[in-house]
Amino acid sequence: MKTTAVEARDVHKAWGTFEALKGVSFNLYEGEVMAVLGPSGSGKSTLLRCINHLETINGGRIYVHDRMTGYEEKNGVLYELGDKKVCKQRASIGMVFQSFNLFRHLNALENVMLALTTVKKMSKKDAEGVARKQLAWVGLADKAKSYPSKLSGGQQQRVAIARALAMEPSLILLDEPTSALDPELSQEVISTICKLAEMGKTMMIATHEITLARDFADRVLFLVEGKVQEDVPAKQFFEAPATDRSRQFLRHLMTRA
Amino acid sequence: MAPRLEGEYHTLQVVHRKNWGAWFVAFVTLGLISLLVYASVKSRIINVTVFFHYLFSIDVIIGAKNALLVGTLSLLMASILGLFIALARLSGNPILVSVSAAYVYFFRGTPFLIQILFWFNAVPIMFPHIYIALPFMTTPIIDLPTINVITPFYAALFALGLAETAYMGEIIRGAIQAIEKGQSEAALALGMRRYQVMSKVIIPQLIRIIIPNTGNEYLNLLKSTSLAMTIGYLELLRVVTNIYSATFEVVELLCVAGFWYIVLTGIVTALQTTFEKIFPYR
Repeated sequence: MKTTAVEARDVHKAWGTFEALKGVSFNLYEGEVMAVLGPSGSGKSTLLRCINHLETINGGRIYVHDRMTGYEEKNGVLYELGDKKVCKQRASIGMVFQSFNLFRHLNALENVMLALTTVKKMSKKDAEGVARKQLAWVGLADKAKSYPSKLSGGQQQRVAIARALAMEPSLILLDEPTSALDPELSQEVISTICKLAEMGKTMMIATHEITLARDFADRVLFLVEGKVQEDVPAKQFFEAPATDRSRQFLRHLMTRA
Repeated sequence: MAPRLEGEYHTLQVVHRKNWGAWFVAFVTLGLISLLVYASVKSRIINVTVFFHYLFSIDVIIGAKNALLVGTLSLLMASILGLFIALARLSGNPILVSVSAAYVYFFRGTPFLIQILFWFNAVPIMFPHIYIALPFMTTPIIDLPTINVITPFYAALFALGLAETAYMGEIIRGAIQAIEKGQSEAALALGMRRYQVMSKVIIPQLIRIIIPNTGNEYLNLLKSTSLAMTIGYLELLRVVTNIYSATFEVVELLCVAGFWYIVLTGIVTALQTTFEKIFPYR
């Protein structure tokens, strides 16, 4: 029996009058890799950011391992949780951003160590050990003392992945991890994400990168203008897309590759 | 004309055209400066003996020390309070935002001199007695006539400190906003609490950004301490004017004051360079 990692029920998110998510529902099971595809502005990033409560939601429910991130339900009303509780939930969800978002005043090693010492309250020595291991895993052991400004985009993103992994998250969210990289640098990041998938990590990847979607994803969630168009196994999406919109999107995706 | 062979061109000499206009102006300027020096020496504009007599006299040095003291303490006060003003302004809470915006507008809007005079002269009239006690206490925390509390030193300190808070608040706010939101989001996504994001990510980067601006403000403050002479605070300018109102050696003593202000500026500049080395841009 597969356990559910993420369950979204009729999620709504609006900024003022603009509705970014209009009732998104899906189930993501433990160990699955889900590619979230869709044209720009379809709500892919917003969906990911709602999952770890970087954005609030206006309606619906999101459960990560049976707990609602950021909210508590009492008598059918959602109450926002306090800072401390939300942070505890966020600690078990890792996130990788399109623009890497490394801490620019810290070197690679310190970037990976920061959350370990502040959130997990590890000693500096233990944190350094874990950090070095993670950096070695992404292939950047020799860049431990380098600062983000001295690293290439691909290297920065791999440090960002190491930073997220160090916290041993049960779910990893990747928000267009290769969109800011040229094809050559994307390759190193894609290889790293491939390793993550092989390890059996539960992941949601919002992406335009067809390799990630076609070769590593188990499922595809296709969003258009905040609504789910398709929620199918990856193979099925690429071989037999159900709607015209999906077919049109695939044509564009293929021509980019 | 026969075409030149390849390789002949590099042996040709090039004679650069002299900028005769600039040279002419340069000579005239040199002439005027020499004239000025000659006239000064001839009329003995400054009595060098008197200048050196007062340059290292104990009163002047104490005056310089006092200027440095008030300047430095008010900068420290302004940096800490300014951080709170900046955070209030960025908090999103409508009351905090309005109050901090009003504070900045008000305290940047009045000259330092008025604020100094206000603290020393007006506040003791408005509040003749300071009495602070908590409801359940029998003995109060503070119970003093205001005049005893507001000495020239404290008046200058409060005035400059609170005024500078408004400027530092804006400098810090600009620095916080200059640090990309993405870094805060990444820190939050890792599970860090808001205060941890502030102390571990924002503030360390903020320090490097504000160093040049803070250096400017420090220099402004040091020289603004001269305004405190109006309330009798024995900073550098007051000491110097006290001396020359008795001896009438105005020129020499003002030069002494000028000298020490330049020395203080040198100290601040050296400090700024040191800080920029300690907190380099990565």
